[in-house]
Amino acid sequence: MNIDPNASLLLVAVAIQIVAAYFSFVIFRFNRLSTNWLALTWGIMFIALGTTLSILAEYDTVPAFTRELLFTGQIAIPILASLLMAFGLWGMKKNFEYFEVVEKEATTKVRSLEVMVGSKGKKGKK
Amino acid sequence: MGITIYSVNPTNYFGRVIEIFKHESMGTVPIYITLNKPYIEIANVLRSHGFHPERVFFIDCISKQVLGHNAAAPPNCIFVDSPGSITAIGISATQAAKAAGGKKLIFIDSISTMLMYNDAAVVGSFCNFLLSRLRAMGVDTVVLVLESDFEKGVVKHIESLADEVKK
Repeated sequence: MNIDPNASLLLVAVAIQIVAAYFSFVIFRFNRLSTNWLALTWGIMFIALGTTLSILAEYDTVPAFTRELLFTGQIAIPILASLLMAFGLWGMKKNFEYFEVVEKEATTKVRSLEVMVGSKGKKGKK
Repeated sequence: MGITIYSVNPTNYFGRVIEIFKHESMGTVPIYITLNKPYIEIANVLRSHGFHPERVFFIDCISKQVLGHNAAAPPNCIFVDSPGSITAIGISATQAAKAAGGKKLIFIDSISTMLMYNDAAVVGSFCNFLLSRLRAMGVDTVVLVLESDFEKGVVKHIESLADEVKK
């Protein structure tokens, strides 16, 4: 039986996409920060689904629905997946920017507090 | 001192908290993480007990929820979005401890409130990380837990990380 090398490569791509979706879910669980982050996982899963539907359409596995499978797998799902990934990454970006602000504010304020408390202490000495 | 857990009775909770804070923070640069009351309320009570709240650095996890996101924090306070923002709490606590000189104290009020806003598993792994990190930095830590929460699995785990458990 001859296996089309293109089909094999596409199936490998689907497997890698599923692994990528798992890793993005693990990252979400690490922080459990925001359900926005789950949108990235869903986006990657939809890419895997789109690739699978494209393979089914490409190899005419369901002849009655080839056009619909092509449209869904190559247009509708990639658009949806892209929106979900963009939303998820935007959520992550917001969170990381917030962490940076918190980090800088904590450092700056504690150092200023020390200077202030130190100078009051010195003024109090006779 | 290391890590000390205090089991606090909910009756006259805040009065007891202030007592513990005044006792444990002597001779230290105290960093008060409040998940229960806004810093302003704690500062006013400390002042009425003859303590200078200006010498305390507050990590206030409740004021933003009450006052809104545009509220401005004073020079000795940082606002965290909510008691659910444990990553931000961890970052602000470790950065504040790093930036402060001398003997430092992190005072966490309280794990019971944190459990109301987060899953037990999340609180457990957060405490594991934060307490280990603070211990490695040589920072003394006081953790408050309600008496009624002491039998919970996650609190038992935190207890295993502590050097002392007091009432």
